Amino acid sequence: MSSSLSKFLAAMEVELKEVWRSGELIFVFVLLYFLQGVFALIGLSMPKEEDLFLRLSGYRDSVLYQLAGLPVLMVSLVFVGSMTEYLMLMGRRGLVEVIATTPTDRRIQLAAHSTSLTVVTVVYYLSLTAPSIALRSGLQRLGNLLPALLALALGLLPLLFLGFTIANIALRFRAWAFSELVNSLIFTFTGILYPLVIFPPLVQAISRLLPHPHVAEAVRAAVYYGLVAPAQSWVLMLMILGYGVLASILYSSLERGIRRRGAYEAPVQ
Amino acid sequence: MKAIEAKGLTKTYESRIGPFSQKRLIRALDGLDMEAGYGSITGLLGPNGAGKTTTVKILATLLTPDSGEARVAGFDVLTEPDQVRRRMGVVLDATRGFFLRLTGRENLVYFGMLHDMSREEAGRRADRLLEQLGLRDAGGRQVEGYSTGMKARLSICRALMHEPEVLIFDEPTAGLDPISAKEVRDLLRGLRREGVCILLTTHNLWEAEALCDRIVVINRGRVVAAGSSEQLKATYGLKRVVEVEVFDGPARIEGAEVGVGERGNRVFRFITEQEPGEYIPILMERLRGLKIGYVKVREPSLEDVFIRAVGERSEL
Repeated sequence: MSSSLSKFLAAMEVELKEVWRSGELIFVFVLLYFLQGVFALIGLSMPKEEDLFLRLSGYRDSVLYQLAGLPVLMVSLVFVGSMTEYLMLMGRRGLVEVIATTPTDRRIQLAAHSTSLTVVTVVYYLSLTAPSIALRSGLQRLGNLLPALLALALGLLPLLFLGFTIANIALRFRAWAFSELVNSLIFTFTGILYPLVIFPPLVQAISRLLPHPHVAEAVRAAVYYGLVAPAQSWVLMLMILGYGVLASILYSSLERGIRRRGAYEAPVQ
Repeated sequence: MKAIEAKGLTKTYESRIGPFSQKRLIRALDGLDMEAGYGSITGLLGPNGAGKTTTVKILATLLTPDSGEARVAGFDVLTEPDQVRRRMGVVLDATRGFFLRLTGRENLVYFGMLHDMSREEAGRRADRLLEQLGLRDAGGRQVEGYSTGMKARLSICRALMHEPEVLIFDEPTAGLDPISAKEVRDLLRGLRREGVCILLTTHNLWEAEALCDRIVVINRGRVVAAGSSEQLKATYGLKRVVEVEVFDGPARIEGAEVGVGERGNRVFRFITEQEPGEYIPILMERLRGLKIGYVKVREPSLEDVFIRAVGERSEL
C-alpha cells in the first residue's frame, strides 16, 4: 500500500512537471478567463429573463449559475475528454509499453494524471471562480467555496470512472473522436451550463444517468447556500460504485486485449 | 536453473483486411523452444517477420502466447508477471518511452521508483548509470532535446536501473555512433561477467558474432539453428576459403575453383577445414614456382550460417 502511494505521488510529480513545463497551463487559464467572460456577457445581455430563469432552474442570477457550473465542466473536460487522448499519447510515445514492463499497475499512472489535472482545476477554481463570485454576489458567498469544493471532490470519482469507461470504449472501437463527441454532448445537455428542465424528457432522463447534472447541482447548491445536499451526495456515491464497477470491468477486458495482441502503440488493433 | 526457458510457444495474430474486414490469421510463433543461461549473451536472429519481436514480447510479459510456456529467472511469464518484471530489464524501442519534458535523470529516478526503489536509491543509481553511459552532463537536460544516440543510451540506463538479472534488448546499438556502440558492447560484456543473462535481437550479424556466446536463428516462428557461432559453422559444414592470385599461371589447378580477380589475373579458391597456419604452408608448397600476387583467407561468417539456416529451415 505504501509502495503504491509512493509510486502514485511520484507519478503525480512527473505529471505536474510535464504539464508545468509544457506551458499549456497559461493557455488553459487564458481560455477559462475567456469562457467566463463569454458566459458573463451572455448572462448580462439577458437581464429581463431572470424571472424565467428562476422558474426554470430554481436559482437567481444566471451568470452565477454558469460560473458555479464551470468547475464541473472543467473536471469533465479533464476526465472524460483527456483520458482517451492521454492513453493514445502514452501509447505513441512508447510509455504504455515501458510501464508495462515494470511491476506497477498502469492505473496508478492514469490516476496520477487525472489527479494532477484536478489539482490544476482546483487552483483554477480558487483563483478564477472565487473573484467572480465575490464580484457577483459579495464577499459573504466566498465562504461557500469550501463546501462547493467538497461537493466537487465528491463528484471527482464518478467523473474519473466515467472517463475510464469512455476511454475504454473509444480505444476498443478505435473511435478516437468518441470522447470528444461525448464531451460536447455532456456540455450541452447535462445541465452544467443550462437548466436541465429546458430539454426534452428523454434527454433529461439520459442525462440523469450521468454524474454531471448531480455534481453540477451539488456544487451549485453549495455556492448558493453553502450546503452539500444529502440527496445529491447519495446519488453521487451510488454513481461511484456503478461507474467504478463498469470502468473496472472494461479496463480489465481492454488490458487483456492489449496483452493478447501486443498492441501497445495503438492499444486496440 | 536457466535464466530464460521457453517451450512450445505458439502465437497467432488475427488481422482484418479488405473492404469486408475478412479475417486473416498470421502464425508468428509455431512451437518455439529456446533457453539462455546466466552469465551469457544470447543473440536472437532471424529475417523480418520471423517471430523475434513476438518472442521477446512474450518473455517481457507484454504479450500472451496462445500455448506453450516461458519462464524468466525461474518465474512464469503468464502467472507471475510481476516477479518476472522485478528481475528483468527491457529495451524494446531505444528511442521511445520517455517523459520528454522531464530530464534524463528525472526519468531514470521515476522508472526506478516504478521498480520499487526508494527515491534516494534510484537517484544514486541514476547518477552512477548516467556517468557510466556517458550522459552525466546531459542528465539534467530535458529528454526532448536528446539525440537518437543519447536516447538509446538513456533507455539502456533505464533498463539497468533496478539491477536486473535478465536483460532483453531489441537492437541495442541501433542508431548509435561507432564509439557509443562499442561502449554499449563493452557494457554488455561487463554485465555478462557479473552473471547477467542477456538476450538480444539484432540484424547486425557481425555484432552478434562478436558479442554472443550462443546464437538462436529463428524463421517462420521456429528455431532453425542454435549454438555457438563455431558450432553453427561446423554444423552447416562451412569451411575457410583461401584465395590465391596467380600471375601467368596455369588455367586450372586441381581442387580449386578458378576466377578472375580485380586486377584481371587468375584467382584460385581453395576450400579447407584446416587451420590457416597448417594449410597455407602446404598450399605454398603445391604452388611452388608460380608467381603469386596475394593470399587471402576468408573465414566462414555468421552471415553464411544465417543464409543457409533461414534458407533450409533445418534443426540442429
